[in-house]
Parts: sequence; C-alpha cells; structure tokens
Amino acid sequence: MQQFNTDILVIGSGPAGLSAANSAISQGATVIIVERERSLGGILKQCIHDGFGLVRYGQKLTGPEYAQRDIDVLIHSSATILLSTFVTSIVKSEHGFIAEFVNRQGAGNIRANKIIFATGCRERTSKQILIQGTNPSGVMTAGTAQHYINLQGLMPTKRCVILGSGDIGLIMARRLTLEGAKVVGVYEIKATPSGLTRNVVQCLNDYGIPLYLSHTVTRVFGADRLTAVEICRVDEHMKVIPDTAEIIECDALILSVGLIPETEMHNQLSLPIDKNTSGAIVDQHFMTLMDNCYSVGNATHVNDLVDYVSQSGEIAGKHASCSCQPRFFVRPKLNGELAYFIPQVIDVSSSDKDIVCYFRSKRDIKRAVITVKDKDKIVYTKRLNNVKPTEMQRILVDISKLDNTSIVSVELEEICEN
Amino acid sequence: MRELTCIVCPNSCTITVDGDQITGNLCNKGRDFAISETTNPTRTITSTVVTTFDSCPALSVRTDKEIAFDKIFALIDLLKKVKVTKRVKIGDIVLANVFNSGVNVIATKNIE
Repeated sequence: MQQFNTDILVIGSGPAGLSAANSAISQGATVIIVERERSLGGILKQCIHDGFGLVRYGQKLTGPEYAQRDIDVLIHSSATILLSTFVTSIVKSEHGFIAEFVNRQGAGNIRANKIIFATGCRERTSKQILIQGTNPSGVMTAGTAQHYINLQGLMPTKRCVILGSGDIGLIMARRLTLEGAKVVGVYEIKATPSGLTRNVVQCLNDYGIPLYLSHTVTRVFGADRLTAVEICRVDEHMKVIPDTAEIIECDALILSVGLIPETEMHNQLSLPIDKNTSGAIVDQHFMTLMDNCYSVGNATHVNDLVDYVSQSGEIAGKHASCSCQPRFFVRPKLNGELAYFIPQVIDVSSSDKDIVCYFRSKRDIKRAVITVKDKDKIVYTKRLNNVKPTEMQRILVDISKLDNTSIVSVELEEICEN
Repeated sequence: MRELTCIVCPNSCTITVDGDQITGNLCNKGRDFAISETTNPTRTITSTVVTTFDSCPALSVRTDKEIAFDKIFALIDLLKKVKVTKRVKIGDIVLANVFNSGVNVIATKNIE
C-alpha cells in the first residue's frame, strides 16, 4: 500500500493546480500533486492555438508553451508528482484530509493537512441538451474533436455542423477548416455569440464560416454514423419555430454548449456550491467554507483567460502554506445586473488590503458602474464600458476598512447618460 | 472608412480607420494592428505536424512571427508534408524561412 504524508495535496495539474503547487512550494510547504493523465498540463496540452499569457507574461503563447513554463518550475522543485493516478475518495480526518487513490502500482492513500481542488471544468454534452433522433457516432464535444486533431493527429470529420458559439467551438471551426474539413456553419441558440468577440472575428470571419444566431439543432439522423442534422430558428424566448426546419448533411455535430465546474470531489466533502457559478463557495483566498480546503481555477468558476486561472492557484497556494487562522465571514449581497461575484464570502479577519474580485453581468451593458458598499458607505466604485456576460470582469477591492460589523453589498448598474 | 475588431487581446476594441485617423483603440498595439490589418493583414498560425514518435503522434507548432494572411493555406499544405523524426523542444525550428519570408515554424511542445 502506497502511503504519503504532506502539508498540501493538490488535485489536478492544469494551470490552476500547477501554479497552486508552485506557489505553495515557494513558500516552503511540502506538496503532492496528483494527476489522472500521463502528463502534466491539463487541457492546455490540446489548446495549441495562441493567445495565452498576455496578462501574466505579456506574450502570446500557445497552451502547451504556457503550461510548460509552470511544469519546468514544478519538476525542478521538491514536489512529489503522482501521474496516471486517480483520486477515488476524500474524507475529512481529525487533523486534515485523507485521499485514497489508485494507479498502476495499486491503491494508496495520502494524508494532507490541506487540500486544493484544481479539477477544472467539464464540457456540457449532447445528453445535457435536448436533441431528438437516433444515437449515431459523430456527435462529440469540441474538446473531444480538439483532442483527436491536436493530440492524436486524427481528423474526426469531413463536413460538420458546430452547435454553440463558445470559444472552443469557434477555435475548432478554424482548426477544422485549416485541416481541410468543411464547417457548414456555427449555430447559436442565443441572439448573441457566447465566445469572445476576437474569436468570432479571427476564427469565423477570417475564414468565411457563417455564424447563425437564434438557431439550434433539433434532430440528428443516421444509424451508425451521423448523416444529417435538422436546424431550426428560435424565437426571442429561445422556442423553436417548427416551420423553419432545414436538413443539413454532415458527418459530425460538434458541441460547444457550455462548461460546468467539476465538483464531484467537492461533493464528497459536502462543500456548499454557488448556484450561479456551479462551483464551490470561496473566500478571497479561494478557501471553501471548510477550513483548509481550497477550490481554484475553473473548478470554482469558468474563466475566460488562463492567466486568471493561474492567479487563483497562486493566491490559494500561497495562503495554504501559512497556518489557517479562525475566519470571520461577511457575505456580500448581490444587487442589480450581477450574474455572479467571487469571492462569495469575504474573510474580514485577514490582514488583506486589496483583494481580487471577479464578476459577470447578466446582460450586455454599454456603460455600467460597479459599487461595493459597507452599509451606505462606498468602499469601491468603478465605471466600466461594454460589460458582457461572456467577458469576465476583474477588480481589486480594498477591504482593510471592513470588519465583522460590516454589511457588504455589491451592485452592478447601468448608467443612463444623455 | 473601415471598422475593425482588434484581435490582439480580449478587450476586442472596435477600431475605426478613416484615412490616417485611427480611433477606438485602447492601446498602441491596437493602432499597430489597425495599420497592418488595412495594409497587409498578417496572422500567427498554429497547427500540428506528424512525427514518428508513438508518444507524440501530433507535434504542435506555430509561426515565430506573423505571416501574410493570403499565405495561410499554402503554409498548411507545406506542414502536411513535414514528418518530425528527431526529438525536439519548445522553440526548435521545424520548418525554416517559409516562402523566404524570414518566418520560421517552431515546435510548441517538447517530445519526451
């Protein structure tokens, strides 16, 4: 039986896990990092397009290059790295946590004082959206198509339809086109694209790939392999308009219909989940409501930029390497057009000054103002242009004046100007 | 007059180019992008090439500088003919000076 003891256990070696491990080690902690795949790097390994690292390095890197920078630091550090190792259960013990795992050597366990979940997010699949018809092969998520092409060097389609305009879908539309497939179109049920504007421009417009807004796939055809899909227009309430049905021949339907934080392991510890983010509720150090248990990166909320995923790992890793003092939470009340706000709880017992906060709006707002208040006193306020649900906002809020009598509210409002 | 969406960073600024007048960009990189986009549009291209290594059937690569937009598909055709037989590291040149443009195609991952 393999047995390990450590200060900090990091689960997942994507960008969040790598930076959490590196930052904890740089503060002198002992760290074990567990990865279920054969190599480090998480989903970045298959994200071969560029645009990563503009915030963190001031450079446009590809996914594998971005990951390698953190991997190079980790493999030359004191970290214990367990690859091809799958954590099967986590329980709280008297002094910390016990994680059981399996790998090629058999079963084992890790006793850790603190745990950092860096489990990333999962793609929504065809089972999570309602499509009628048969069950042929050729229906896959954009990430699966990306894995085939970029890691295995295989082409999964000659002629395809992409459902959903999330960033991976847009990036795969370009990638498939460059590799010689015909992308008939990208179909989005909403009236606005889900991905970043720059990706609509450089992935679709550059290659003349049409984007059909307010359209969706309503049926798939084919016995063994997909042969066609049925597309319909939808009205302003996203209800299908039946007489708009159109059949499009294709051998693949590629789905880019959203990402959901992976919280299976969080659930084993019964950590409270925020219904707005679908991830764990965290404080400004990404510690969950359970002491010494952290949740970072896309496992907590789906980010647009990897740079901020890494940053959350850094914050948590650094904090986890210090001893945990009793916390006192204030829970900001959200008002106005906020879809979510992180941290969901603020630990006012900490000596923090500026804390990083992330939020998204419920709808497109041309001119907006975000205000953080303690009762009626304004703690922070900033005007913002072009706030969109698809583009995460990030602000630094000075919380040094907050204490355990604070009643905090956060408000995102539209500014009407003449 | 032309309206562009800047693709340099996620801000995705809407830039208006009217003769010498460039407006709407939040930074100088946006200005450079607008000039290049209206005179000689270029892109960084990322793709994969095949290798002889079982551990790495597809090696990811990118251009080390931007190449002319109208050369993209010709470059992809060139990359289809490449087969990497030696272990490479990030930054190693896989294809040098494509189309005599001074642009190299470099590896973006290590073959372990």
